[in-house]
Amino acid sequence: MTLQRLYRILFVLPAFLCLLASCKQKDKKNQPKKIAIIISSLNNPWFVFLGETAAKKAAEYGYESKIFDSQNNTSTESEHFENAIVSGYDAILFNATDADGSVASVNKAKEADIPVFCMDREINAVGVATSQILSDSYSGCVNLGKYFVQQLDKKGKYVEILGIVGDNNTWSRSKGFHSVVDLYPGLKMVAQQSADFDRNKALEVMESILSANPDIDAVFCGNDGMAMGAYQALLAAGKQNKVKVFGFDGADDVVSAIKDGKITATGMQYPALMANTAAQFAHEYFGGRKNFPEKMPVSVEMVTRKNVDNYVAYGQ
Amino acid sequence: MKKLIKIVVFLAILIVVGFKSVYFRKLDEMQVSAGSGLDVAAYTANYFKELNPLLDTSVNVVTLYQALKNKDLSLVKSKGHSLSLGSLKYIMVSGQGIVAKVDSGSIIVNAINNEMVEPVYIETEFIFGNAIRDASGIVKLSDFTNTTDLNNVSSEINKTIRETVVKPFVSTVQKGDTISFNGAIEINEKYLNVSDLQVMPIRLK
Repeated sequence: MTLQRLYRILFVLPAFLCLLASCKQKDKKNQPKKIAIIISSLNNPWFVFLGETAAKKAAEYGYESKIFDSQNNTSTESEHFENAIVSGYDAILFNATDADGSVASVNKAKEADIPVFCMDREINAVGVATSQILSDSYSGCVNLGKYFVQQLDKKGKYVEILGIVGDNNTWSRSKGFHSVVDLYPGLKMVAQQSADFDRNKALEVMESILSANPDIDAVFCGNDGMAMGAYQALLAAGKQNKVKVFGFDGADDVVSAIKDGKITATGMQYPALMANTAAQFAHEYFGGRKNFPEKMPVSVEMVTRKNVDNYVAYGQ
Repeated sequence: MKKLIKIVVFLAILIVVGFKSVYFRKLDEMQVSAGSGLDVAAYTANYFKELNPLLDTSVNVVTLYQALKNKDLSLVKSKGHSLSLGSLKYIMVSGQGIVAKVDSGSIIVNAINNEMVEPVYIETEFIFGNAIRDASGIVKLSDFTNTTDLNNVSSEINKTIRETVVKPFVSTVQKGDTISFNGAIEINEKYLNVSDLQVMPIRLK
């Protein structure tokens, strides 16, 4: 190979590569933006609704989207983030599996310049997600706590069934509830156990609690699935009319159960509002907006037998 | 003998690894993140300093109730605030009138304005929630990096009102007294029910 030929190759090759890269960029510019919707678990209909609503809103804005199921597993969630990054997704709408365990994944997306908008579940990090749109679980449970005290006339024994211990919603709900109830010494919590937001586990937990504490007056549950599980256990023990059950979410079966007088109250969350706001924020981000509130609370409304006719499942 | 030593060493390693791998914590120790270290008491004290001059600009409670009875939400839209997305809004109100009833957890006042009278429920026990924090519009989301601080501020504001405003007032108020009040009301714009409205007191005289 002559020296002249080598110079020619050295000149032409970079030019060719630049051309190829610019074609690729043009292609990406012409393609619709892609949004990854990573959901903690599609076993729970509440999260299915959250994910599908986000996908629908993204489609309305003209974006492609794909829903990923983390199966309540941070490793699976991390793989989804890696896939989303290498597959060239432009934004991630994210429902975290674990408040602490999910931070590393969001950090990876941030390093790859991909905005992440958290929906419903909080991550314990500041300045990592672009914005976190979260149900105001604490305030919702303050209201439930107030109603709980009124319904029990400030005295009695009760049980608390918690959600997933590593999830902030579990503790926001519990803390909001206790910020009111603990001011009344006549109300005694005889048991506090986790049932991982799972209906079947709540049924088992409640059965076991009832065997040691048959004389309870109320149960406060961190979500509606667990409230229904607890109610089933009470029904089997013949105590369904004596023990008041409180839930949180606004699920379809609990709204019906409140109408029938089986469940006393729940906190109505608005997953559609959260999903739509997350998709809207992503749309605004693509349009150039860069400043978003670190945390954007979404109101939770209390549903009781008195106002249940105003509400349908998930506040749709 | 060698085999025995091997088994003992193996068991010792297993015990050490097992002991180091598993640990137990009480459920109530697993609390949500503790906030950013914001001085909630100082923030709340400053909040009341900023709030006091704004109390005189509150909407008259009788005017508000009459507008709401006519399904007119314009006052809520122009004067109401909320830090959350959704249909709950909070608005500051003022009024004066005659105490019609004193219960253990509330006072009913027949509020008067321009010869119009409206019965008003003033809460004196369950002072909780975000009404007093949000109604003024002083507290901004951008002041907070985490929801724990935001919730703690609400809690501290309510505690201050319970101890410094409500407690001394309820010990002396009687049916037939003429009182003036300032407070905050939560209004659900979507499902409005005027008969359910409650004033969370801020100032009672």
